[in-house]
Amino acid sequence: MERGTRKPELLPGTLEMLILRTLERTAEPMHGYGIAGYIKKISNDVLQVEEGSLYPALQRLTLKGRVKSQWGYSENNRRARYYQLTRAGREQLKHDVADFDRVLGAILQVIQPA
Amino acid sequence: MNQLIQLWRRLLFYVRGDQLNRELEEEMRFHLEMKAAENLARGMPLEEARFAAQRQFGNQTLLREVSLDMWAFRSLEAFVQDLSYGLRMMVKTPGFTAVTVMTLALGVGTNTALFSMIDAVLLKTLPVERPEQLFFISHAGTQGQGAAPPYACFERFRNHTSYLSGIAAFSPSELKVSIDGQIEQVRAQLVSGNYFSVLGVPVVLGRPLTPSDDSVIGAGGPAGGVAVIGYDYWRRRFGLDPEVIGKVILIGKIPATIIGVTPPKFFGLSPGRDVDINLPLMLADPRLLADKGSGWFYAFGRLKPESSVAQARAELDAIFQGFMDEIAISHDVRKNFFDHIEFTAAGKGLDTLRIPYSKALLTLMVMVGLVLLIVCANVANLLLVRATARRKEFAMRLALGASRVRLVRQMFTESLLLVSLGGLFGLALARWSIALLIRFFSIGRSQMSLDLPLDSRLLFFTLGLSMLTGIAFSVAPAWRSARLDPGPTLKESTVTASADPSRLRLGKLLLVAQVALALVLLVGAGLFLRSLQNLKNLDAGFRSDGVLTLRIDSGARDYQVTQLNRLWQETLALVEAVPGVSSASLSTMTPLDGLDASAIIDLPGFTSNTERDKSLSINHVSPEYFTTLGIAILRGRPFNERDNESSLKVALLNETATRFYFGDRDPIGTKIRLTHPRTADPYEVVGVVADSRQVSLRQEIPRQLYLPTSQSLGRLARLTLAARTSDDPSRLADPIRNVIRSMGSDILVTNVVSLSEQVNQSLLQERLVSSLSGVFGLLALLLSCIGLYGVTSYNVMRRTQEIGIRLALGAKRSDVLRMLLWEGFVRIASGLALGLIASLAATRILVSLLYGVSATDPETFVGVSLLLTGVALVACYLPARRATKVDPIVALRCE
Repeated sequence: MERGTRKPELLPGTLEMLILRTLERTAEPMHGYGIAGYIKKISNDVLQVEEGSLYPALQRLTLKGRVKSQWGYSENNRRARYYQLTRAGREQLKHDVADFDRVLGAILQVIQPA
Repeated sequence: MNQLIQLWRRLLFYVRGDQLNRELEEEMRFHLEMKAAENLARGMPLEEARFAAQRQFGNQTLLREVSLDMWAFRSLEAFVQDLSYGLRMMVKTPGFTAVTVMTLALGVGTNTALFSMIDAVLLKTLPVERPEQLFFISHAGTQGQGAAPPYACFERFRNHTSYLSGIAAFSPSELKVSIDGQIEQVRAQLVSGNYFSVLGVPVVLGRPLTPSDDSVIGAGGPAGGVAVIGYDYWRRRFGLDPEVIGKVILIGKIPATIIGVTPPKFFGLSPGRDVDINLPLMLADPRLLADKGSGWFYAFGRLKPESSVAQARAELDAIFQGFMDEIAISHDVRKNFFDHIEFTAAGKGLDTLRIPYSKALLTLMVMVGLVLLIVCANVANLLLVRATARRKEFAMRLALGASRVRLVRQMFTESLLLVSLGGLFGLALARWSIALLIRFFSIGRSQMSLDLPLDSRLLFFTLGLSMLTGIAFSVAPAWRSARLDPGPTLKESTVTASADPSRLRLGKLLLVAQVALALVLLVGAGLFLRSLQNLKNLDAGFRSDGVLTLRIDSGARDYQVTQLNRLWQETLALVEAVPGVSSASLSTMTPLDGLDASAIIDLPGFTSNTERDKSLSINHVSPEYFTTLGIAILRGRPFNERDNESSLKVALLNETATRFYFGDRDPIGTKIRLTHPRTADPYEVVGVVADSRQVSLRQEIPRQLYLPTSQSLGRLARLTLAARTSDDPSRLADPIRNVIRSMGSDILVTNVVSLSEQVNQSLLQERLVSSLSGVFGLLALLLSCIGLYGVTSYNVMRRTQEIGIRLALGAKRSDVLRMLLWEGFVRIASGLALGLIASLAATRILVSLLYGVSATDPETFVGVSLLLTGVALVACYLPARRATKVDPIVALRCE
């Protein structure tokens, strides 16, 4: 499948972490478009999540039981699927963030000018 | 736990699959609309807004699939999809499928059948415990290796051995036994009491023999004789009845109680020879047990794990030398045959089958492997052709978003299907051919009862072979389709489609290779066939038509020589009286019956350095032998009735012996002394007979000495009867058997076979090789022709437009035909050239299997080449002819 160009690259697991974190921070159910928009806004347009990776990630999270979804109506009265964090997801997020921090710290150490 | 929950969710997905798909579709639609709205808000016109959003969104269908992919058992699903698609394709093109599957079946089936033979004869180890620890113990000398040392020596071995955990003995013999009053013939084996324990063979019923069962000479055990029967015999004769234990069978007058049954697939240590009944060694003729001279049984031992072969051998050799020192034996004979003890690995049983057949079998295996290569080439070409035809389909699928990996995987799956079907049919074919092969071998004397089951080994072999061939020939087409560029492919017209030069080249290469391989096989087959013809046409020195032979065992253990002579005379008289018999004779051997006996003589006036020169083949014959067998008397006289025990001892020599010992001088009147076996009186030469082949047709004629049966060197308890008739010899079988049976119930008649059949059997290996190689050669030819036919007809189809244009422009139909034929001929010719070179190189290896033809016999090469070219041209001609029937208008219009 052609993924097209993505700039910059996200490590594979990070997207899921970002989605979970988004859901945690907003504390309200969001739809896919909204999640992508939030990430884009908060990161100042640096991280632009493409649909090609968003929806597979959402399905994966649903499968793993980290999020649950519900159909609702959007602002303009269209049907959309809203996602919410589950308790398991919340737990997992803590671990993921901690792991990410550690890895990031390590990378920074290596990049540090001597 | 988490995994389980996931699994559960995935299963739910299958149930709700459609719904999920729809939901996702809706979800993505929403996203799309939001994006479009965003674009609109930024100022894009409506149409563009939507369009931009859509473009950015990407391929929805694909995205949906990928997203839902998270749920599915992706690989399994894909596989199932591929399978069903492949099946549908196969059903849609029945002709192609049939040809491919049949071709595969032929390749796999023939290979499997031959492999099973090779496995049984060459590879399989015996179903005993730790076969690598077993070794045959035989005496050996400069002239070669024999069987076990005499029994008295064997007994000494048993008592003194520190490096072997056990030594046992066995002696094959044909016996007549009486069960429930019915007399029947069985293949028996006399074994030492510890035979089963040394081998580590359990019983499936009852108990095995033990040393105490083998302690009393002439009776077996203290409680009488016992017997252990073979599984196959138990099934055939007693229908697996457990009541067989305790049944009493009579061997002559000696009773033996059946005490156990050996497991199935256990055939003793002689591969190919089924054992019906195992009896204690003590039931053998007591004279043999006491005989210090001959080796009438085989001995083997099991090496202790911590010992080495050298240690064990040295210990036994010391005992052997001590034994040999005590008995009177000529120095030369001892050096030639009884010099020392040798250990040979016994894990695969006796060598009797392996040695003569190994080269032939391996050659055949190579040949059948070549057939498989041709099969692969053929199927590869077929698949290549079909892949090209499906280019548009592949291009479409690629454009729709299928990954190349997926396409390649699908092609492999289709090949897998074909291969599996082919393998299945191949297995059936193998089964059938194995049955044929067994029948081929089980006629008459050779009676090979090979264990050729379709067991799991074979199954794995077939499966493995199928997989290999499957992978081998799907690589090329799969590679090609993976490199397709969808865009141009979709736009092109079918006509110019396969102008791809590399594809054409591969196809041509495969074809040329096929033709070359076919030629090699045909040349091999041709050479073998000619060898066989040469052997068959050989003047063997005797007349084989119209003669029946059978072996008579007088069973007379207690008779003296004079009694035996009278018995034989009576037998001859009775047989000669049978209507249809024009003459009958008795002898210890008949030509090509596989027996051989030798003696060492002492000639006045002849000295030589080697013992070898003084030994010759010896045959005891009755007076009518030479007339019955049609061997000419060249000088002097044959034996007659006046030569008996009390008259002058006489002998005859054959031409070769005469020339060797006497040169041009007349041998008649010379007195010959025999030194081994030693006789008191010399024998006077009274005539010279023509040469005749004895051991095999190939071997050069040995020096032969003939003595009258009435003046034999020992007791002749077993002789071969030969009876000549002008009629069909098989008709004599029953009358003669009846007549002999009337002489007494102790007399055993075996090996009833006509002399011409006996000659045929001696050519068993040659016949096997030539017939199988002929089959393979023809198979190869057929396959190549199928390949040629297929490719040519495809070419014709592909170039229909081109041909139409040519015809429209004024070319004659015969021109077109000639053009197509010429192209085909070029391919055939290149294949031929390649094949000729390969054959010239390959046939050198076959020299030892050939007879009377050189490895580069020009007649064979030319003949085979012509045959191949002719048949191949026909294969090209048929589809080419169709081309000429093309209506130019139709051709021009078609796409």
